[in-house]
Amino acid sequence: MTARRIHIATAGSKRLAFTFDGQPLQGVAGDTIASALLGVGVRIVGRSFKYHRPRGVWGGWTDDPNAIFDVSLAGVTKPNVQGTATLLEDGMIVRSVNSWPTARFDVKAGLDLLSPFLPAGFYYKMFKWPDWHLFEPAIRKMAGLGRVGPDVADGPDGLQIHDQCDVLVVGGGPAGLSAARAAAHAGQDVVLVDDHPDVGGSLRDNPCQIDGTAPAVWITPQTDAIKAAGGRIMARTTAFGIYDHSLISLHQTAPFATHPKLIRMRAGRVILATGAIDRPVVFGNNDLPGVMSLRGAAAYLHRHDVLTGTDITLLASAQDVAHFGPMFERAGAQVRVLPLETEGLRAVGRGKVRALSYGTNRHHADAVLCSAGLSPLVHLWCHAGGQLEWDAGRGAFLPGAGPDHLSIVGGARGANDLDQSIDDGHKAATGQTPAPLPSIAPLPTTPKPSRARQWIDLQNDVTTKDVALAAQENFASVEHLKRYTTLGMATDQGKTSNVNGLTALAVQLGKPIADVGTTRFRPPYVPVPLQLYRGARSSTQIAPLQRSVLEPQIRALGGAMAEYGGWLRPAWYGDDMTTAIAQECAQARNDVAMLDASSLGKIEVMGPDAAGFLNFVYYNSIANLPAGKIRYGFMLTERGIIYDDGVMARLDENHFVVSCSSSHVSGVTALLEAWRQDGHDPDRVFVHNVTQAWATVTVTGPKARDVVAALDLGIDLQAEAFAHMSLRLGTYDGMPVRVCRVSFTGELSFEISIARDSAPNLWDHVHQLGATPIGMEATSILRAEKGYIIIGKDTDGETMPQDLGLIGPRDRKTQPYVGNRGLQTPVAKATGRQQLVGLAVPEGATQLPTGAHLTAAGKSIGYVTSSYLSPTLGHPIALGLVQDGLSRLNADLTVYHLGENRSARIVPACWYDPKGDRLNA
Amino acid sequence: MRNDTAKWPAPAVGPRGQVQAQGITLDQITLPRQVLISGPRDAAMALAGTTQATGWPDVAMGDHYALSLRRDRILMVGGQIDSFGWRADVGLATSDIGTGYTVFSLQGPRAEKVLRTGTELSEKIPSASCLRLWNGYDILLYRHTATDRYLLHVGSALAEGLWDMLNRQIRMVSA
Repeated sequence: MTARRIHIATAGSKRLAFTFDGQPLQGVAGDTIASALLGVGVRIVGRSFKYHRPRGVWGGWTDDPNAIFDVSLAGVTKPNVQGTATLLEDGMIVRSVNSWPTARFDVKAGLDLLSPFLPAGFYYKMFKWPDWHLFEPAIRKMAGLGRVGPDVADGPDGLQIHDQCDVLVVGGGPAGLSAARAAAHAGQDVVLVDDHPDVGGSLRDNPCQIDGTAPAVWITPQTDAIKAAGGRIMARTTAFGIYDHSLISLHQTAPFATHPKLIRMRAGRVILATGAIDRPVVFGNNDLPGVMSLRGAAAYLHRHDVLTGTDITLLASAQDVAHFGPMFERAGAQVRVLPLETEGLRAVGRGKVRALSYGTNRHHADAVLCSAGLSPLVHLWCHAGGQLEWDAGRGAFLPGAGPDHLSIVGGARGANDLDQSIDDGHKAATGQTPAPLPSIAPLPTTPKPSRARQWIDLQNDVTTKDVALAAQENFASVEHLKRYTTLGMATDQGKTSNVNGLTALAVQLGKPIADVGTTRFRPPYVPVPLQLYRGARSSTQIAPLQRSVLEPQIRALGGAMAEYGGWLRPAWYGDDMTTAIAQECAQARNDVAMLDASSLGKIEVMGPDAAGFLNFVYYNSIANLPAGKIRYGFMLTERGIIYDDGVMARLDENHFVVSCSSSHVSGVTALLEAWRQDGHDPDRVFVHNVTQAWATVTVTGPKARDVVAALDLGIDLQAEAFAHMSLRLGTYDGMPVRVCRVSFTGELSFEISIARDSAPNLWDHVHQLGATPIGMEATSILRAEKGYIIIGKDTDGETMPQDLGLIGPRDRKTQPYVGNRGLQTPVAKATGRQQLVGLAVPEGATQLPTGAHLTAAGKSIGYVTSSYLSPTLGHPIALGLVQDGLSRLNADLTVYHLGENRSARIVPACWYDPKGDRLNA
Repeated sequence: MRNDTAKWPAPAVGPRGQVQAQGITLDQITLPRQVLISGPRDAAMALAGTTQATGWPDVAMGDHYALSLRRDRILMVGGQIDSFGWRADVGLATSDIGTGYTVFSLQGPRAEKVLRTGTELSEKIPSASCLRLWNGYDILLYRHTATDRYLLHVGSALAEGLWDMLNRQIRMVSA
């Protein structure tokens, strides 16, 4: 292949420097990477996936499966860039994929010699014994195309924009331009997208007279008319997927190192004018560089002044030969023609095509331009649920029945005539029925027997023999064929390989192609950068955490921040984690500590039916809760599973505050809203989530009362006046406060809630009064010492209240409540349920691993849910869920973890102050 | 246990500084008062002292107005209500939100483009509610004073994240 640039039109063009596999090269402005490589005579642009066969450029745009590159520019690297559809930029570093050190001299090229031993599916058979995982790392290293570097995750964010229009026209060829013009003229809000830098489609690839004028002369009035009628034209924009509710994803390419742009277009109607591409001709050694798409070669000639060979053989229909042959001759090439039905045809050459051989004939060729007919680009049609029907004459799947909001016109419908395409577009835009397609005689495209390998999928190295093997091994479904042979996978997505693969399978099965069917096309239609999907959701935006108003204070005190339940909270304070946590526990047990409890839910439930409503939603009885009192309760699912726990405080007859766990605020609010509107009068009970309006400072420890007293809240803090599980209203510095006597540490505690903006002053004041801040790790230990649970840690998706020993409401609550029916089922009342217990280790033993299996008689009967070294008690403590655990107190268990067995004894879950004297102080 | 302090930049203390880009101005603003009122719409409007609850694409005016959140809930901005809880006399539930919502102002001819990075936004698609999901954040979004001035209320615990996301989108839209 001696491709070269015919410099007639490019003499004055700007030169662009780039490197390919380390070699400095030059292209010209307007080049794609592929046209630039062809223009300087590069033949081998990459290596195939399995056998590392040399690969040259096949197509002229996104239908090319071979010219895949890793590209770097200005510190940005993108893997698997389609070189045929990516514009060249000055300074680009282009690296071939699947090759080392270069595409031309690839050290793994020798794999091709082993190809007889590496047929389709060989790895499914070879690497089963003794263990797939032994081979997996090496195979994964060899597999794949480009290299994914850190830039993919940390590179430029993707810009994502939502947009709307009345009519979206996909494809700016003659049919698309005609449709867009007619729709815009009818007053519709029209958007026309085309993935090339300019509209015109096949008219620019393959110039021909239209309405008696040159294509460029015809195109300009169309675009002018569209714009004049208010239509928008988006060039370099690819529609790569259609989704429900007429949502179309558009990728708008920009200069290489800038943000990729995704447009989420909501269109009232979509007109697909996506055109058609050449179907490859299957013959021996048809994968050699220099064997190309006929229309691809024409595009390189007309768009980039690149002639893909000087001694060209056309392998195409008589109509195509008559149309395209003179074009290449006028450009200076010698053109020969071979009929599609040539028997025993094979390409000859190593690394590039040098000749064609058939029977006893052989002639020189440096380029073989092929077309076995046209394959309509129906991918988007299928994304939207459109059906396909086999057309034997065209040798192609054509669109059948489809969604009402979708039309398909021009080449994508199978209309290969220019006038008909223009008529199609106009009729689709104006709601008219398109003219029926003329029937045509089929081309002789069934692969002829050949001793040389006949390639169907150039990217994945699938040959006719692989298809035969799959059929022989009864992978006769087209979907199974795809997965067994990898036919049509990766970036090709069946564009070039689909019909030839189905034809080969049909031959093997002795069925018509229509009965073989086709695989389902799914988005994306072309490769798109991963940044397009993640948009700006990188680093802290992947899962943004909620932040407390007290965070500056906490950081100033040395808080080590970490995520707890969707909030950024202090894990401990200071540099040394172990020492800090022990000291914080001791401070809370022996003196006075403080913690930021702002993340706990504060959901107000109000109205004359509020009490009855909460009584229904919560497992525990709330209706009889007096004003000023607080009650602990479970929210259950309808199956009776514990969803959340929290405390309900009654401010007055018609006003409650639900304090749920931090991570469940949104979920509990949503459930309260749902139940409020289901079975209750929504005008008599209302739910306000005011969690973020209030901040909460908790003061805890035996000296907590002294500190709170010094705050002068106007509340009698004595135990007789303000008992545990009570609420009082007061003021701090003129601001209202709600003070709850509830305790998660097991010590005397006051939770002081105040308007968010006033919380920093309150926090500083409490600290100045001698309270020491403690983090979440110390808090977790303190609560575990008391046997208090954390939902989702000490409970799982099967835990019911009775599994925690709370059976009173189940047996005695007479009013209906959510989960009641679930708690009365045989499953709920069965023996063998996992129940929460404490787990003690022998004296001197170390802490149990969280998650370790608890076993008896060699079977797992539960697991460790929480495990700590208790600074208060001086030994390890643990909680666990164990089958019938509450009736197995003092039984010994084996604890299994990572091949090691240890022992533990079942004890009560509460390790500290079981009578509650300290929290009631 | 991991210390992730460095992963999360320290939050702003006090109002965040103005951000300006071509055709876009982003500010944090302070509203006089925000009160949730739930109950029959007419009674809620009467208690709030307003005649219209702003939805999309309405333009709220002045310092005292109401935002329509759902069929039976508004957010009163400004105005005067002193007692909160269940108001049996009018059958309404009221809660002082204080600064529970942080409010950002996005203004300028290109502000709408920034907003379209995170939600479908069109004057042709009205909504009775200001509630929206923008780039994954639950916000109240409406226009205030002018057709190119947008106010965004977000739960204050996520204000840091929303501010960061707004800045990311402004940078990309302006690039």
